Amino acid sequence: MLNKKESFYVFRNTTVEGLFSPEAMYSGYDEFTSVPNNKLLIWLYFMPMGKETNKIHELIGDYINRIEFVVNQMSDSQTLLIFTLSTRFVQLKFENANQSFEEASEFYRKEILKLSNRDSRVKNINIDDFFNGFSTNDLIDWKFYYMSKMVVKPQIGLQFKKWFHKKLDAINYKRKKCLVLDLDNTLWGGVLGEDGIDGVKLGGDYPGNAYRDFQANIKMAANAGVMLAVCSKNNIEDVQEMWAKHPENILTENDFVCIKSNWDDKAKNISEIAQELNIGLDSFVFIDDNPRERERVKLELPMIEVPEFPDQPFELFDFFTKIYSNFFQIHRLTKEDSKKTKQYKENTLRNQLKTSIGSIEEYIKNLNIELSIFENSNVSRVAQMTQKTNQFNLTTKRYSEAEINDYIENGHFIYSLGVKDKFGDNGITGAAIVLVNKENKCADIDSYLLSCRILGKNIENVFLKYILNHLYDQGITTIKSKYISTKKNSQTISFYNDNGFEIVDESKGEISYICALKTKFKIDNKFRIVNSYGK
Amino acid sequence: MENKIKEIMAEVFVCNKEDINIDTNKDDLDNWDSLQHLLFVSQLESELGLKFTPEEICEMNGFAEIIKIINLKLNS
Repeated sequence: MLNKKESFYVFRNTTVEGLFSPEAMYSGYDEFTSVPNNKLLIWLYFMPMGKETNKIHELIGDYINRIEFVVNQMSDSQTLLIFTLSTRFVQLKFENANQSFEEASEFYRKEILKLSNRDSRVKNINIDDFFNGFSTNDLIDWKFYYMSKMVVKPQIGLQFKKWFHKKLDAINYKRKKCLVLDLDNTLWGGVLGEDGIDGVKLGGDYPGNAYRDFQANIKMAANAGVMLAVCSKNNIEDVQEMWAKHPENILTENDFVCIKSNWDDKAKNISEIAQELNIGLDSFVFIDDNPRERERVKLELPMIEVPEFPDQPFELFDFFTKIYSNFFQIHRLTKEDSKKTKQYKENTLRNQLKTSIGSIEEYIKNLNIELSIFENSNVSRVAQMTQKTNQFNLTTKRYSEAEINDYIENGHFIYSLGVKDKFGDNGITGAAIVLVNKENKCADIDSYLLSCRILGKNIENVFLKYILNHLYDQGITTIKSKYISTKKNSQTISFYNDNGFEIVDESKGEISYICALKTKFKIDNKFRIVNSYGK
Repeated sequence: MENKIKEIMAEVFVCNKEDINIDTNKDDLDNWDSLQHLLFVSQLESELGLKFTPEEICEMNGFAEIIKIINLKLNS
């Protein structure tokens, strides 16, 4: 059981100190390498904002990987409480971007739902249950966000703490395992021993229909994982006959994990049930219409929940709804159908493969990567990529569609790269602009860029070699290229060098290279290449 | 006004109101760290109905400066 006063550990990607009590401990904003041994671990991430949003697919997939890492490292006595990823803070409603935020949040929600469904140490909380009580202006103060990466406005912290502690209570103390049921005047109207199978009220008109629905609801709870037991004062033979013969009876012998139908003290019976099932008495809820029996059990076994029974059968439906939500609802989000979030899932799968397969070579081979290389097409996508790509971009020159078309008309080459693997199609995610001077047999790689999400698979080198081979086929013998340093593209600084180009000049943030083409390059056979100029 | 500010400080920094005087600054109160500072400022903003700029927030490192900046705001 989790103790609220005990210190807990919060994994976070932003400043959330204002939301938790002072004894909480916190991870860094991004990376972590180990899982602390606090009994309660909390995972509260916010949607990436600002500059990070263009990488949202990768980031969200990465968040899920991190959560899985934590779950794998956790001991059995630890609990991980995961908050959903709120979309309330994403204010800009760009057409495409906004949809991907919602998809991202939905993907994340489903992934953590899956985790909590298969691992009882993992719980989740819909954070928007809290945030939806506020207007966006009440939620965020951009001043504090930019001063301290504080997403949630500090004033809201106190209310959040209260709400969170209530949730913690719900998760902690209320979850029961077994529902112990009386029979007469509880699961049916009347007394079986006196009224007989034909005389008890079950199904048909009121009040029988209310009892029938009560049974049906209990059955659904059982299907959702609640254990059922009988504790009644009946002849077991009568009860078995009832179960076998009454046409409207829903709960029968097979639905109960334990049946105590005798004239013993009910407190004693329930204690025996607890022993037989090997679960604690504090995991029981006892339902009985007889106030004397309830009092007796409450007195003898105070750790058992004994709710008051409704006076009227028509109240049974609402009664059971409350019983279920108070004591049995697994603290998790409701399932609902929604849009497919294929791309995220694929990325998660890819990463799983990466960790399960040892070497990167094997990993690449197993992906069955297919590269499609196009010449002088996909113009608008290429222009868009020159505008948007910052990290793997050698020269970071920005072009419009018209400028690219001009290049094509003047005999230069525009290459674009499509990447597919066994998990899905990434679309056009790489481009190169090569300015050629056929008379001098010379070509200049003006731009060379790849989207980050396809990196780490050696694709950047294969694409370059293919281009060089193509140029060689066109009679080109000398290649020039450049690296122009920006704040973001440092990862490409040695790219041309690594591919055998020679440095001819190096000055303030620019490196110029040259490469003589004497023969064709061999292409790594792990990749299947489809192209527009012959296989 | 000064009394009100002391009350807010005592609440946010978990200390006695009486311990706060014109010379009190960040180093004098254990809980006055950068994060609590922002919570304090946001509390001040909502209680006094004022908005401080990031530059002002950075300068509000002692009781005297806080009073000075608030008075400037109120008089402008």
